[in-house]
Amino acid sequence: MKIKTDEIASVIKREIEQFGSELEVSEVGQVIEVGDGIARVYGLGKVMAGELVEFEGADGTVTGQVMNLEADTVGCVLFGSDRGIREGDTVRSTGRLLEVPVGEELLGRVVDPLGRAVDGGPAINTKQTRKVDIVAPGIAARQPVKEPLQFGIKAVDSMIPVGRGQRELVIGDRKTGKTAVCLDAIINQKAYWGTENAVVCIYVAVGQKESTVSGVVETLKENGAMDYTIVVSAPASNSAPLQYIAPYAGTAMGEYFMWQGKDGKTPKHVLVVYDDLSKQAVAYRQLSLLLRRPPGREAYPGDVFYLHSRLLERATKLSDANGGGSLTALPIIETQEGDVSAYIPTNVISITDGQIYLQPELFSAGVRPAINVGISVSRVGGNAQIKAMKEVAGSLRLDLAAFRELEAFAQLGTELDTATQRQLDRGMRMVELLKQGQYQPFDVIDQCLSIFAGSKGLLDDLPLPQVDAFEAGLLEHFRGAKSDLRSKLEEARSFKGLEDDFLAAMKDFKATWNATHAKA
Amino acid sequence: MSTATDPVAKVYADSLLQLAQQAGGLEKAGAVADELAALDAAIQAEPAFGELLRSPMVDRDRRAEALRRVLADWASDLVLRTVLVMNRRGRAASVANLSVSYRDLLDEVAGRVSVTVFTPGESIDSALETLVRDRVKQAFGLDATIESQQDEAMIGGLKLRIGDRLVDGSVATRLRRLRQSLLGEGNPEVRSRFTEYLEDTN
Repeated sequence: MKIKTDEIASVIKREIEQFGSELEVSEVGQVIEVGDGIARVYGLGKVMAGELVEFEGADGTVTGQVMNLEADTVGCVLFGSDRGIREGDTVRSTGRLLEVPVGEELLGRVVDPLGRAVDGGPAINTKQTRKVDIVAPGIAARQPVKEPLQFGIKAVDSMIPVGRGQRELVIGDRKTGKTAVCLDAIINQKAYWGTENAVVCIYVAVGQKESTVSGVVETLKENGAMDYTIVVSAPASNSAPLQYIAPYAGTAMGEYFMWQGKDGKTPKHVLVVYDDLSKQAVAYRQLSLLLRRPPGREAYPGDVFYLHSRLLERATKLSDANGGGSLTALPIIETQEGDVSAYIPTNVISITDGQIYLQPELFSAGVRPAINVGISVSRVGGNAQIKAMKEVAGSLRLDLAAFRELEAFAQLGTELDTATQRQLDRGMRMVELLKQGQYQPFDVIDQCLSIFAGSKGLLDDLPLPQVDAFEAGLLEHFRGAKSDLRSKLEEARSFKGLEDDFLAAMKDFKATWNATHAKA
Repeated sequence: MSTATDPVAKVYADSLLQLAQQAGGLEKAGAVADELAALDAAIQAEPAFGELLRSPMVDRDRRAEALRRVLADWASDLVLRTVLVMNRRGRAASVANLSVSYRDLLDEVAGRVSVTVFTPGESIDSALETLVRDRVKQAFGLDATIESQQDEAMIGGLKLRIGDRLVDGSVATRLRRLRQSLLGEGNPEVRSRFTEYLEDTN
């Protein structure tokens, strides 16, 4: 193979011929103050809010963005080091807005919020760029959320179903498994990759330790999830402006895939995890205070609600005319000591379409994922569940609600009547059934079968420690001996008319299970 | 560095300009500008003078005394009184920014604009200066006050800075834009048609 250099030369020649020789006219100003990633500039009379400006510092050109327009000066944030910039340096307006590279080339890569590779791989050359901060699609461009986004977590898919295009908050204290739930959701999308329903995942890490981010990337690689994932990393060592734009940059990268559905291309579904928005709010507070914007509650600026609402509004299920693509948002918020009434948690709770609430008490009691299904909700996802799941999940919710009411009694150790005792037994086994190992997503049909078995009382007389093994054996049974019945369910997507067959098959399995385990 | 961003100095400069214009039109206003420039030069040249204006340790009456003695010989009554009023109101520190603010306001009133001509090598000749002045008058309707500066980094060509506007015809900028356009637009084209550029040698 040899490269035809003359052909490449002709492309370059054409570029040079077309290159305009007109003068470059730009607005200029001078730096009067610089530090902490913020610069105040005198001049730039006609610059506009949000416009990109270029600082000509000693260490080359640094890009910045106009944030404040004041009577005589302009407040800018810097997307690079402020070390080389001095008082009196020239600042040039560009007439452009901030854009990031977008495209398939980003899949499997770890990039910074400006789309530059930080994984040690080759530089990323995409054909297209997209504006980072845009206005979300309007009503006409959308349709209601109606397709499920499977997490592969029984507790979520059964009772807190999330649809494609939904915004579901993951909230909880530190060390309760917030990131793990989202990573499970990303890993579960592996089953769909390469199909019509493929989901591109974008993990945006804001203000985290670099070691944590590298751990996440490692986990995704081990589970084969990096092929369809982009990691946007703005770790704690990045400047506040970069941490502030990271979620918007990640969303812009996702929107490229969402909109390509309009041209009939796949993948057109996107899942974006923002880990986490509390740290982004802190970064925004820092730069707002440095820009001398007035502080409000908890010293956050007045527009901190808009900061998150305009980001999460970009989660969309596009109308069929627009290709039917979707962008699902999973923002993460870290609470302090379970305080959900702090400023940022209440804001984001009110913006999103529901929340998955993780509790440290459950986590330490061994219920993992530590999801409190009692107070977790999903406001739109119910429409997006498959029929079979809807059929079994209703009774699951009731069983658990009854269990929570009686739970306190159980601890008193008093004598209970048989009906109450039965409800308690059922509840405990359901809780046991909803426990699930990390990075072990369940297929949705398997989930239906497990919950079906539980809600029909097949587990009620099993000793608690055996529930897990029984479930595994049962699912294996339906993959082997009874696979024909399973494929019927897979096709019909509903238990209607099949209930008796399933119940009989499960009872058969239980009989053999009891026989073997009684001997042992 | 004295800048025109001091809002206090701007207010006093505006008042001073109006009084100067009432007293003797643009001519008087121009004379005041020269006096203020001299005052600015004195502040730059003598750090102790700047310290006297800024320091809160100095008593107002004693500072007024000192200012009278320094300014009496050469400053006009108008300038002296402005400086003393600023001192009395605790704004002596802004005296250092008065000249720049005043010059900007006067330029605006008189329809003037300061133009900096950047060249890579030797300074500009009078023919070029006249040309620039004519063109600025044509384009903006303003009289240009021309200042010349050397900048070797621009390699060749000419750069004009008219107020906040930079008209850049330097070779360095053209090379930068050519580079951007080749990387930004040419590069993807070469990449997308990469296979066509490969010649099978077997």
